[in-house]
Amino acid sequence: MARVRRPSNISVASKTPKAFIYIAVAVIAVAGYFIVQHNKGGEAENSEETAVASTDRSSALYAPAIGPEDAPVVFAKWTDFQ
Amino acid sequence: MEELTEHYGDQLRLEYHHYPLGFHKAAEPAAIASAAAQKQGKFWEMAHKLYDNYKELNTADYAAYAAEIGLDVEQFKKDFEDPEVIGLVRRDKAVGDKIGVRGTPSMFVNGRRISGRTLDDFKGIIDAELAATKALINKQTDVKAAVRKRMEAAPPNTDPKNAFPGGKTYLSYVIDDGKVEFSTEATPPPPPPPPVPKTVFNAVVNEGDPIKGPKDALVTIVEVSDFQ
Repeated sequence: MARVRRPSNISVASKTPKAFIYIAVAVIAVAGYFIVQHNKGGEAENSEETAVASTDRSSALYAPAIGPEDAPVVFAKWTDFQ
Repeated sequence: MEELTEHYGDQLRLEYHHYPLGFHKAAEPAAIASAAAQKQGKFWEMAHKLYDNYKELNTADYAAYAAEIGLDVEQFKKDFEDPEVIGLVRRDKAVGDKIGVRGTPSMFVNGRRISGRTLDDFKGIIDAELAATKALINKQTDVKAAVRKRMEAAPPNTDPKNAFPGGKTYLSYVIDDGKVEFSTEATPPPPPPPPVPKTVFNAVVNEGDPIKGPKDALVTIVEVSDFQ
């Protein structure tokens, strides 16, 4: 029996309704969004373990000191108590 | 140091920066205790306590020190565990690393590392720095600006691991923004000391072995060694 070639401009009706596909895509997108947000939260929690000094916290500002701030000589000592 | 501040008066500012060495196990908790005392305005009082007891520093004693120098002890205990207070110490050490501190004490005069040992050494260095700074002061440059210029001109840390791009090491890290990374986690308690071995060995001492002391001494120490 001769086979009939189907013209390419005629689509075959899918067994899966289009609405179902749209819903599935939407669910995947929303799930992806929440996964990304969750990971960001985890990174933020981890970043608390290592703090990076902010720009307004110079070391000298918080150093215990004797003598005026406008002294012409600053003698700085890095040391410990042991 | 106190003699220097008395000698120079308003001409000198002495800054204390934390650099608890890793192999000084008690040094970091002690530094944090001093920073906690600083929160109540009594850093130097706590520092004196810690220096007086430097051979037997023990975290368990710090609350008692706090009481002795008149701190609010409960507040001190909270501050001792406060990540912000811990961060003050860790940040100072991280800055020290960046400017080339490797041991204690390490001293800088207007951003220049010095290596004096005696009071006269320090006076000579400070006198020279006073002259250099005062020479920069004029109508446009006040004392603070002159000090800043001296720090800006200080030799950079050339350590390839920590060298600051642009060379303004001291000024950049100590005085300006000086971004460095440091942990604010609480210090873990020191590990317990290893148990004393209980194995008894029978060390045989033969006739003719080099010996000092009587053969019937109550204690015999046997040393197994070489000459290299």
